[in-house]
Amino acid sequence: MENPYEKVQSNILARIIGNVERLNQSVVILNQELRRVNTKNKNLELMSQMCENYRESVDFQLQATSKKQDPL
Amino acid sequence: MDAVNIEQIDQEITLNLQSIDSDLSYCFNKITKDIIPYVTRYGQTCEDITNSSSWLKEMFQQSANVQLVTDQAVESAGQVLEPRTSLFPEVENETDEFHTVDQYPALSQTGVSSAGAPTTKTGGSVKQDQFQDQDTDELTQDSAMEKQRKKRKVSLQIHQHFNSSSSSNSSMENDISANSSPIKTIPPETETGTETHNKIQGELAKPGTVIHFNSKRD
Amino acid sequence: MDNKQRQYARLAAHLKQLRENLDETTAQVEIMANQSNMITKLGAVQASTFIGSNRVFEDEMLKK
Repeated sequence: MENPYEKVQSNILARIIGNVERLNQSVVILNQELRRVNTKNKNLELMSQMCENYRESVDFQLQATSKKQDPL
Repeated sequence: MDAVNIEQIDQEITLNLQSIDSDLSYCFNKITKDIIPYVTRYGQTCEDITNSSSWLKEMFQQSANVQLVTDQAVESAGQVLEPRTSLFPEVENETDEFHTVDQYPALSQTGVSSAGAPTTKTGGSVKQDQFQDQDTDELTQDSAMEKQRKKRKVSLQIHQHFNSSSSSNSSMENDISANSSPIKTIPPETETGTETHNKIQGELAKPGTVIHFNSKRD
Repeated sequence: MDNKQRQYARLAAHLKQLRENLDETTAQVEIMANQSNMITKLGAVQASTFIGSNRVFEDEMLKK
């Protein structure tokens, strides 16, 4: 009596293994894409850090020289 | 009884396996059909942002006299000398014209025009000092504050140099700040020179403390 | 029995690899989130610079 269930289960297991394999491949592709994008965006991150630091220093200087005007 | 129980358990096992299978295929479809296109679109958008903010990168590189190395890891920071000596005076000349024409019509034209040449010379001498400083410390990722400090230093060095080299009137100080400030006013954008410029005059007149810091270096 | 054991072994290996990949993915996504926050800040700073410069130029034009 166990035989048909056994067969079905092994078939489903085989399908699961195949699916996991496909999923792995797609996740690998996703990782490659993400790594590419992140390495490209390192420059942008640096830019934004520099902009932020520049803005903070300008802010500080304006406050220190008390020339800061009210926002619009 | 046992046979019925075993049959039920087997049915449940197959149902669970089928649900696992369908979940896995759902994950696969989600990743391949939804996530990867979004990631590629995000990559393209970031590419556009990088292209349209490359001027900002150039500007920061030239104002800090440093080559950013994140793009290609092979580039070294030692290749900076050639473009910088050529590019630095151009910026000052442009901003000189800008300030003489628009921003300071009341100032004496002769003072400004005579101020243009010495600042480039002193800029050249300052650049060598600056470059020695640059050689000692490599650019790392979190050296943006260093860059800010160096930018401030360059402007103050020009300021100090210019005061010491040429006996200046009291009105010359305005010209000096008008000439040395572009180093700082350029980075946001070339057109905002007027706003930041007005404020940075006060910024340059103030910092005796940083000049002290400068004399330490020398 | 042997077949089943082999299948489960393959499944375990694949799931281990999948888990490693997903860890990497989470790390990359965190980096991406930080970067996008940074880029948002950059955009805000640039936009405020543009707005302020526009304002200043309007004032300059009106003064003249």
